[in-house]
Amino acid sequence: MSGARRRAALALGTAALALLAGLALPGCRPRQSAEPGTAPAAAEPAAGGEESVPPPGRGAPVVSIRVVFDVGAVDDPAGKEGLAALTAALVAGGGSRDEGYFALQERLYPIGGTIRGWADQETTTFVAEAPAEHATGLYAVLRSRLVTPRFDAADFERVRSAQVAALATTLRGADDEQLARRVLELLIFEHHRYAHLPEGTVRGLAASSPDDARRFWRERYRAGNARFGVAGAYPPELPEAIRADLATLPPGAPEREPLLPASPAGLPEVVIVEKPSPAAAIALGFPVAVHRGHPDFAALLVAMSWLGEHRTPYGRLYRELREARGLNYGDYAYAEHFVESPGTRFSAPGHPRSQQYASVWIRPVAPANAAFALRAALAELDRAIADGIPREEFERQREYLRQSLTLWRQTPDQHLGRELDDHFYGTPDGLARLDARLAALTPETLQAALVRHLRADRWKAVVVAQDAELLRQQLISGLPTPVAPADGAGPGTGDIPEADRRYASWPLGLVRASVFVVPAEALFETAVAPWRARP
Amino acid sequence: MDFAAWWLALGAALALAAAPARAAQPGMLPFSSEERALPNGLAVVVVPYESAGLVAVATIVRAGSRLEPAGSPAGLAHAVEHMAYRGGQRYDAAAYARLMQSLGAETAAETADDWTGYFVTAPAAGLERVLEAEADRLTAMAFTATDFRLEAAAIQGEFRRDAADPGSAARALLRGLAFPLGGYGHDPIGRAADVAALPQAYDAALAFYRQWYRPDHATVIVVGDVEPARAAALVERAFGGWSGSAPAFEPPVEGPQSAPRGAVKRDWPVATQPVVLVAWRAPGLAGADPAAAAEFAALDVAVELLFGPVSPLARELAVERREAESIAVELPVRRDPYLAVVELRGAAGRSPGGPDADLLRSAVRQAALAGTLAPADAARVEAVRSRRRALFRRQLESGEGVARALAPYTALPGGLASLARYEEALAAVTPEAVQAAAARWLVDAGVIEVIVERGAATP
Repeated sequence: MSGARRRAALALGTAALALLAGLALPGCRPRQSAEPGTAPAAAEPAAGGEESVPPPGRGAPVVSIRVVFDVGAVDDPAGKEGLAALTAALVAGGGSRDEGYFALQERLYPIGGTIRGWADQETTTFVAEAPAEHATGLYAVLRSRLVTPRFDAADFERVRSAQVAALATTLRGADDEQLARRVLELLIFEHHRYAHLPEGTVRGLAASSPDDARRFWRERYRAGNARFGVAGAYPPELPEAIRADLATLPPGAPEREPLLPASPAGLPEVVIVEKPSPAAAIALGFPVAVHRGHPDFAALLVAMSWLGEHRTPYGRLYRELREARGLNYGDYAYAEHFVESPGTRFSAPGHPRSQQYASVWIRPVAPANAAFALRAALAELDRAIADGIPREEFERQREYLRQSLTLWRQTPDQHLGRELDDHFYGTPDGLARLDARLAALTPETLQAALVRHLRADRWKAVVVAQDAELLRQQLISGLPTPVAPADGAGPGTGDIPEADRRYASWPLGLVRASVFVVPAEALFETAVAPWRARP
Repeated sequence: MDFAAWWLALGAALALAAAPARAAQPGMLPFSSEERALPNGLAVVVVPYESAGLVAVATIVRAGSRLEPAGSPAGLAHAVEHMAYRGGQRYDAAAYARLMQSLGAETAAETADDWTGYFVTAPAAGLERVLEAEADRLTAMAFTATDFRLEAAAIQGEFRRDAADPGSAARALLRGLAFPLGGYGHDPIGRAADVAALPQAYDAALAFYRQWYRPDHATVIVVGDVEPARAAALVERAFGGWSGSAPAFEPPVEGPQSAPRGAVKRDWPVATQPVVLVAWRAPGLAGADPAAAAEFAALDVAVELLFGPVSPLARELAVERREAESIAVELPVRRDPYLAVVELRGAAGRSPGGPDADLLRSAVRQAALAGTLAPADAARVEAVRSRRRALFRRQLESGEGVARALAPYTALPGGLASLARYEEALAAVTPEAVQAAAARWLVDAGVIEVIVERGAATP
């Protein structure tokens, strides 16, 4: 017994990560294989009893299993927008051939297991997590849902009603920050196959049926477009079991029309989402022809991180808007599509996209300061492109990012999710590659990349605000919009008055026809952008 | 015995003492850990943890909104947390940011009812500098009136962030109804009027900081790839000069509740699913008395069985009848008596302002009554026990996760030992104790109810 415990301890002591891309099956489309980031584990079988208990003084006592299919919202049939997401949610949160939904939940309950599934634009991800000693029980439930899903009509109704509510009440009505950011995606990709959110549209969901979901699963969840990985202190036989189970899915990979690049942003446009709200939430951005696999990604990453790394106080926007002026709670910038990993500064893995956009998130400001905050962000973006980043600040920002890379994979699941995303981008060992590219950057090559990919006079923005007409007038008038006293704050320090004048009069290039007002209730109804609809 | 030698001895003792217990019963924390007080009263916890060369440092000050004085705007504890990012004596805001940036560090802070926590994750090689900077900004916080006014404006921005969420509004209403006097009566950020008054509360915030940020009122937790004796010695070097002592605190005594409160209904200006909160008064975990932990653990199992994700009520409302989009229950760890809260979201597409929200809350009340009538099912009690351990384990997925899992317990009297006390109490819960706890706490006289929905009749 004690020998078994010791062996388990040794095995668990190595950071455990197995990553398997594609399935070695006859008829499968071969995929590039991964360089695993760390040695795979060979823990003792979790046969119950003390062997399965991670010993003291070791790493994370948890397990994460991820299965990814190359299928997403771009595969939604016209008129059934949201079907990929519905199918993912139904597989992850429904019954299996042998057991109903609630019975499976009862099996996950005592082991503290969770299974999540979602579709993004191009991929669908399933994540199962539990304490390591329950890995086998966790996988049994995941397996039954993935390989033998039930597509029960009542499960379908439950899942669809939650998905409709997420769009029609939560997003429209209960989270203005996310509302601005999500509508920005629609505005940027208006004429692209990303033109609807992965969650779908209210009518597209209403038009979908359990049979649609079953057909979508059968046709598109295939052995040849699947990859999976396991991380944490998992039993050694688990990867092979997953591989064998996924091999029972139909072989090959479904056809998909290649995605065209998104059009570059044209003249500036603003959508004002009108709804009762005590504050104005703002998001702005533009498409960029750069994703993680592109040589210029490192340059964009440093630049946007310097402008405002998510939830950190180090960025220029944060210092100017929040610290010096008290305008809001935070101001951040992103080099790629960014889904928050709650409570951290890191992006949640599982949302890789071949078409990308850069963006700035301005957290809610007092309505009187909405125009000022938008102008300030654009002025800072313009300065970064035109002048680059001062050498000392460049060095600091680059060092910060290079030092941060280990933190990007702190938990087994983050580590695994990042590596699976790397496969999507065709850059196995992506963090090491990124580190090398960061090391090779100079302020000059960085600025050249910014000039190649960014323009501060070609952008789209979304503002969620109560008095839309007043804001529209401010945006198109061309008159300065000085900062309103920041809610009782006294004067700040430094050269604020001069900078304030520059911000307040920053040219927006907007005319009446480029500022649209839509009521929140009109959003997400169909795949047609409501701001183009003629009254 | 000096601190380093003490750690070595402790590690050896734990290795001997802990193994048999773990072999029989997987503990919540599967790592060696122990709490130790420095001469100035500061508690130190070091947890060796494999983390790819990273270390997490958490400084937990038992200065949550619980301690805020009557007569000042609520939200002082939270405002002090913000001021910590304006730096200390040796590290001003810019120097602190430069250091953390140079390490690639992740920094975060959180103000809770009972404590305020400061979290840093950085390469383990930077541990000494992280501790030095944390000690400087937390023990010698720079506190200018100008900075405070600007930070108060940013807090207004933070408040605006949540203003669109009906769930936040419902929870704020609930707290106000349950605790009209004390610090539990509001979210740590304060109410709208408090946040508006905050720019003028500089002196009160400074006084709060000076009174409660004291070494005998705080715990430093270090988790990661560290050598325990060295880590503990570095904590002592950085924080050893911190002096003073926090005064005793008597929370205001809330008047007794002898009848249901609510249901208070609030109208919401845009379409929303109804938010329904049904809460009961619940025991705190303040005392070192094992009976308090036993009572807490039994009630925890009771509410989980009655309202948890696989309860009959959840099955009926959220799966079979689909009258609720979701149902969740929480009995949070608090020092003083707090609440067990059941939170439901009504299904979308029901008639706004109709009777559905009231039906949901009466279904919760009926389920509570059923729980008082018979002992719980023994297998289900065991399932809850297993789940509690499993969910605790899942928090331990990173060094910071370990620190965050320990934080609420280090803030209780008795410190980290309160986690073991809770664990023992959980292990001892019987079906009869669950029934007795339900009968004692889930009573009409202790219930408080709130509904937020579009078209709700405003009282």
